[in-house]
Amino acid sequence: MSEVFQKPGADPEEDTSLIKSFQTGRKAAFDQLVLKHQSRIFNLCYWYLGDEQEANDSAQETFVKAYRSLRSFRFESALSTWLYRIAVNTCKNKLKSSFYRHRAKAISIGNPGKRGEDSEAIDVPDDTPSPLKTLEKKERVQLIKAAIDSLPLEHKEVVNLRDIQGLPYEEISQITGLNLGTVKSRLARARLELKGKLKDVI
Amino acid sequence: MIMDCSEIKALLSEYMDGTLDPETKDLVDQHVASCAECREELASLKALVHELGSLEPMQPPKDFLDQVHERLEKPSWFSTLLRTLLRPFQIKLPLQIAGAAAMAILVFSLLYFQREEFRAPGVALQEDRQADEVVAKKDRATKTKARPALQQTALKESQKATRPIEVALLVREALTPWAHEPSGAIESPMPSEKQQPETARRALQSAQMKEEERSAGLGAQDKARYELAEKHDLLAVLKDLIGSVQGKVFSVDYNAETKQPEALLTQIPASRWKEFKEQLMALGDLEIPAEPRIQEGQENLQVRIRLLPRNHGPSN
Repeated sequence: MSEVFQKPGADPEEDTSLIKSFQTGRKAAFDQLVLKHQSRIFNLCYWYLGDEQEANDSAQETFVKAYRSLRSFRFESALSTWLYRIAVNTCKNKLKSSFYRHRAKAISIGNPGKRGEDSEAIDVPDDTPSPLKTLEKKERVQLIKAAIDSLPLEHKEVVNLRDIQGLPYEEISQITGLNLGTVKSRLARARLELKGKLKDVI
Repeated sequence: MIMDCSEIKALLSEYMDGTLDPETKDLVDQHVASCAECREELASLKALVHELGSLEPMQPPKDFLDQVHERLEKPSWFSTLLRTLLRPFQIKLPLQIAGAAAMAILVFSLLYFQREEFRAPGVALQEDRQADEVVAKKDRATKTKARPALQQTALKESQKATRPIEVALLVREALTPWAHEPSGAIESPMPSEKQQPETARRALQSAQMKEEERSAGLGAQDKARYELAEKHDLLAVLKDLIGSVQGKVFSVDYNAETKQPEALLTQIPASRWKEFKEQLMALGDLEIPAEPRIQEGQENLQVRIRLLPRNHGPSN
């Protein structure tokens, strides 16, 4: 069943040969790795941060960090797992930074209902025969995004990694450093919370 | 094992993902088959997960790789900081411009420090030449070569700052009453005991009564010779005079052959230049090629006084 949600993963063997090529001095191999993984990393960052520009910044930083450490990459995990881990940490650091928090607050004031407690506003009373279900796809996506943005970070993280990125539990465990049981229970709670927020959309 | 709905709902997430152990999965299967509420719960969860899984992936900008390269080429914050701090020392100029700038600075600093000379070069040089000629006639060979080393050093140092003002003093015969005496009579470098008080008295007197002295003429004695005794006394008078305006004598040039003083390098307070000049005039005719330009804030003038006989034609 889980295969249904799995996104096509990176070809680990190709990654390995590209990394080895890079490690022997062929810089262009890194470019190939970036092109291969940029969409996944960017997408992960986007759903972490809820903002394209911030996602771009974090995704780039992820690859810059990767470039500086790739020479000593020891193939203890898949490259994609390693990249995800760097990206998750980069995004978390960004969210923790006081600048970002200040900015997020400003956005929240500017767009009530998009973030934090204000997002309760999307729980529109269901007094008409599910009109939201017929919403344009774009609008649905906006509502889903707002709901995800409003999740606590630990819930948002597992929903992002599992349901949006389609990663298996084991890999999520490797990326986040959480044990498998925690990943499972956290994901169950996160899904329930999100389902509650989106009960009129889905 | 029978589970209630809340326990089943807690397992639905894993059930959906197919990660439950077979035994627990069977229990959920059985419960969902018989419980409409839990069945609905599972359906909505599946819908949610399907919805999330089918979200259009966000695409990075087209120039993402270029942007990564830009960042990779960007120096770290530490080297950026270092470079910012050291920026004033890292301004890069083409060599030609740097050379031209250095040359301009050199020329302007020379102009600044030697303004006098650059402003009226003709006058100064001409006067130099005249003065040189005058002296050269007397002792062509020994004029400058034989200066004592110490005096030369002093002169050099004083010349570093500003070029001294050259003045020529045609010493009044009144100060040389014995000029007509045979030169051989006074060979010693110092004046005799007898002569000194008399000479000094006369010299000072002349300094005080310049007009009277000048009109006195005394042109009859045209064999002007610098006698050692006389010169030494003149020196004493000059030194007194310089001291009286709080000036200083840096050095005295002597003629190596005759052992007679022929020039004094002095420093005179700029504020008292006029007074000093008038007093010098009392001692003889004063030739000043160019009146010194006294800069604002300039404290001292360097003056080189050449001592010349009144009649500096061929003296022998």
